[in-house]
Amino acid sequence: MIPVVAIVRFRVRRRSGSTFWLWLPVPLVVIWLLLLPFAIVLLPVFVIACLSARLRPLRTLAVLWAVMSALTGTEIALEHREASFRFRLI
Amino acid sequence: MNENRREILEMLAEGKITAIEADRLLSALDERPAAVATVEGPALARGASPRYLRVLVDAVDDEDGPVKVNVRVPLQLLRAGVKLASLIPPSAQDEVNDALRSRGVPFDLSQIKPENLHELIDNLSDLTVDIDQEKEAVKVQVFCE
Repeated sequence: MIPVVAIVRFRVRRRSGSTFWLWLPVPLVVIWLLLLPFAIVLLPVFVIACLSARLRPLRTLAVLWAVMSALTGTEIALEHREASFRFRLI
Repeated sequence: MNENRREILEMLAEGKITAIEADRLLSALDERPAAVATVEGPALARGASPRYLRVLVDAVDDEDGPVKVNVRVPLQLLRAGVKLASLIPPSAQDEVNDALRSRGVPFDLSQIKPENLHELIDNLSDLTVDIDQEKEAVKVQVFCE
């Protein structure tokens, strides 16, 4: 399954001593749905490009889908005393 | 050696606990399931297939203070990458191989095959790289979980 949600968490400690928190879940599934019409329109172009490069279009699509699916579970976190950042794909 | 094991042995060396108590604690550590293990060390149960590659960097800078980096990459991405590499046309593979060889990396892309990947990933379960630099206070851990 391709990632459906990206969670971004951000924390910055201000000079005044207060802390700014940002927790932002990005619904990727909505973005995929919005991009779907463009993908369908661009599909013939993709097929022609694959054939011109001597690649099998269906196999190429399957591999690209596999790469997208494999991204699920990726997590990157950075922590510092004044700021922290965390990015997670679910 | 992970942190918990080291602490138990240090407590034993300092005489805070007896040898029997240390043995009991070490046994309890060994019996602990992988799911309970934290990111402090390899959290892979024996026989289980690793799912993620984790890179932990723990650095202490004199000016900026402690900095921690924690990256978790699914090993599935490695499998997908191999499939992606198999899509590269043979003529392009030759060009890439030549470019790698000219930079001192004698690597043949055509030898990367999905069937060889299972063995590689199985062997990755035993991988633990610890880089501990006392002078610069940087600790890097790479392991599969």
